[in-house]
Amino acid sequence: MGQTTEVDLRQQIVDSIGELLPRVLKREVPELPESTRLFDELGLSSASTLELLLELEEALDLQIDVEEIDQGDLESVGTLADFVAAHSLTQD
Amino acid sequence: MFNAGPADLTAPERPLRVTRAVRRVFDGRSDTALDPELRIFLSDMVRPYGLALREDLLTAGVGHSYGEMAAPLIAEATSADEPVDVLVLAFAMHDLRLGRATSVYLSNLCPGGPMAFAVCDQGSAAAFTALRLIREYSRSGACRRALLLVLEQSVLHYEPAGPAEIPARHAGVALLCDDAGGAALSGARQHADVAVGQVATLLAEDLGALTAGRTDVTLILGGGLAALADAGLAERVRIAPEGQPYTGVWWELAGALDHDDPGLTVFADHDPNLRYLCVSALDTVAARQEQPA
Amino acid sequence: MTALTAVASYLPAGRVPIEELAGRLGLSDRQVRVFRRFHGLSEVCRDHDGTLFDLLAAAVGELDELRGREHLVKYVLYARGMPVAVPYPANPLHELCRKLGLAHAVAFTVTHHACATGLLAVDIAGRLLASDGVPGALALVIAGEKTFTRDAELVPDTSIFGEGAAACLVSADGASDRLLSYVTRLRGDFDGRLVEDPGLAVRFAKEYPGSLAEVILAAVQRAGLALDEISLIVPHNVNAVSWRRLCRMIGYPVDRVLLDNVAVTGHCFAADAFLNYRLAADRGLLNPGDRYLMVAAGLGATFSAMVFEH
Repeated sequence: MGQTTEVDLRQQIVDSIGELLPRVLKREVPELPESTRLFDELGLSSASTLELLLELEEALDLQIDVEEIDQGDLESVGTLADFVAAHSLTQD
Repeated sequence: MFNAGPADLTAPERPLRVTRAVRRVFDGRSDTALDPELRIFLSDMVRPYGLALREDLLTAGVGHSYGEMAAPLIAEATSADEPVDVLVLAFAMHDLRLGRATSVYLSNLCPGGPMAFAVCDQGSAAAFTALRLIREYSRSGACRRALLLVLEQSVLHYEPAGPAEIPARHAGVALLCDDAGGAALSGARQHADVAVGQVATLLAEDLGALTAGRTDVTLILGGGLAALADAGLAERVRIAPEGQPYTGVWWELAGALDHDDPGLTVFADHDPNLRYLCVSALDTVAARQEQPA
Repeated sequence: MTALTAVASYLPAGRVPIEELAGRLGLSDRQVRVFRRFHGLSEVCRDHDGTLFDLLAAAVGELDELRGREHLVKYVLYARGMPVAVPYPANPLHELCRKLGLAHAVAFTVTHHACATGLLAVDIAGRLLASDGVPGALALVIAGEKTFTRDAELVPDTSIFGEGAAACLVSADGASDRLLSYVTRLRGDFDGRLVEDPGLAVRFAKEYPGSLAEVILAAVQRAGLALDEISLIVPHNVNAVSWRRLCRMIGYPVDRVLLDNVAVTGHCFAADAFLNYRLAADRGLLNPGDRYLMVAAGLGATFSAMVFEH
C-alpha cells in the first residue's frame, strides 16, 4: 500500500463514504459536500452508521475504534471523516 | 429514582395504611385488539402447547389492556401533591399488550414516578403478595406511599392451557397506601399448598388469630371461598362479585372501606389450582390508635 | 442484609452462530457483520427441543446448595424479562415447585424490569426474608427464558437473545455476596416497540448511556464507595460496544467488565447477571471483601445497579 499521509487517508475516507452511503442507505445519494448532515439530511441512524463504519473498515483496510464516537462526530460527512482518520489503525 | 441501601430493620416500622380505594368496571376494548402483531405473538406463544387461536375473538377485536384500564384508576386514586413511591401491578390472566412493561408505563403516568413492577403467575394470590411487598418496601423506609393495582380482563384469544376461571368482565381496583390515616394493615398471611378440603379449618384459625376479642368484624370472601359464605365464620360476611376471580375480593374490599369506620375487615381468597390461601386484615380502629413514627 | 448464598448457571448445549439466525430474523449480511464486529456477538445458546420447564429445571439442577435444604426455602421467585411468555393458565413455575419439593413455598413471578428483573427479584426476596426474620430461611430466584417469538429473539440493531438460565439462593443473613445498595430508574416514557417505532430506538440509544451511568454512580455512592473501589462489573450481555462506550463515559476500565459471555451465550434476559457472576466466581475474579456491581437495563425502560460485597 505504501505510506499514506493523514491528509490522504482523510480524503480516502471522504471518498469512500460517498461510495458506500448508497449501499448502506439502499438508495441513490447525490454528490455530497462534506457539510452534509448525516442524521438530518441523509437519515442515517446509529445502526446504519455502524454499518457504514464496517464497510469503511473493509474498503480501506482499517480498524476503527468506535467506542469514542460521540454525537458531534456524527454531525456531517466531514466530522465523521475526521473521526475515522483520527481513530483508525491501518491494517498491515 | 429508587435508591436503597440494606433494609434497616432497626428503624421504627412505618405503618402501612390503606387510605383510598377505587374500583371500576371497563366497557370497551383496547385498539391493540386489532393489531396484526397480536396474532403473530399469540401464535408463537401457543404453538409449543398445541392450542388453537380464537379466530372469532381476534376478528371481533375484543379485549383490553391493563395500561389503558389503570390510567383512570391512577388518576382517581392519586393526586399531584401525594407522590407515590412504589407501584405494584398484580394480575393473573394477561392482557392484550403482551410486550408492554405495563407497570413501568404506568409509573410514568403516576404522580411521583414510582418504582414499579408486576407480580403474576400466582392466581388470586398475586394481589395479596403485591400488598405484602408494598408492606416490605414501606417497612424499611424505602417507601412512604404506594399504589396497589389489581386488574383482570375477560378476553383470552386462544383455548386456555388448562382449567382456570376466565373473568367475565374487565375490572380493576386501586388501593392507595400511606403511612397515616385510613385502615391499618394488621395481617397479611399466605399459606401454600392448601387443598380445598383444608381451607375452612385454616381460615377459621387465621380469623381467630386476627379478630381475637373484636366484635366489629366484617369478613370478605373471594370467589375461591364463596362456598364458605354460610359457614358462620363471622357476623358480617360479604362475598366477592361473581365473574371477577382476581379483582373480586378487592372490589368488595373497596366497597367496604368506603363506609365510615368499618372497623376490622378481614379479606381472604383461595386459588383452587395453585392452592394458596391468603388472609389479610385492615383495621380502622388500629389506624386511629397508632401514630406514625 | 440480603445476600446471595449460592448461584448456579445452566447453558443449553446448542450453540447457534448468529449467521444461522439471519434468515429468520430478517437480518442482512451486513447487519450480522455489525453484530459480530462491534456488538461482540458470535453465537447464542439455544435448546431447540426443550421447554421452559426443562430450562428452569436444569438451572435448579445445577444448584447443589439447594439439595437437602428445600425445607428452608420460603419463597420462589421467577424473574422474567418478557412480560408474558406462556399461555394462561400454564404455570411452569408452580409445576417446577411441585417437582422440586418446594410446594410449601410461596412462589410468584416478577416482571416488567426487562433484563434488570433479576436484580429486582433479589431485592424483593431479601426484603421478604428479612421481614419474616426466620434464621436460615432462603429464597430461590430463577431466571431464563425461551426465544419463542421474534421479540424474544432479537432486539433490533442491539442484541440477540440466548437461552441460558440461572438459579440462586438468597438469604437475609448471609455472610458473603451481601447487597450494599440497589438503585433503579424507571423510564416509562420509553414504552413502545422498537420494530414499529424507529424514533423510540433513536431516543433510547441517546438516553441509554447517561441513564445507566446515573444508576451505577448512585449505587456506588449509596454503598459509601468510590467507583475505583469496585473490583468488577457483572453486566447484562446486551452487547460489548455499549459497555465499552459506557466505561469511557464514567472512567471505569472496560477490562473489569466481564463481557466474555456475550460471544458465547448471547443476551439471556434476566439471567445474565447470574451467569456472569458464576463465570466471575469460577475464574477466581472475586476475592473476599471485593466490592462488585451487578448492572442491567432494558426497554420499558429500566436501568438498575446493585453493589455487592463478596
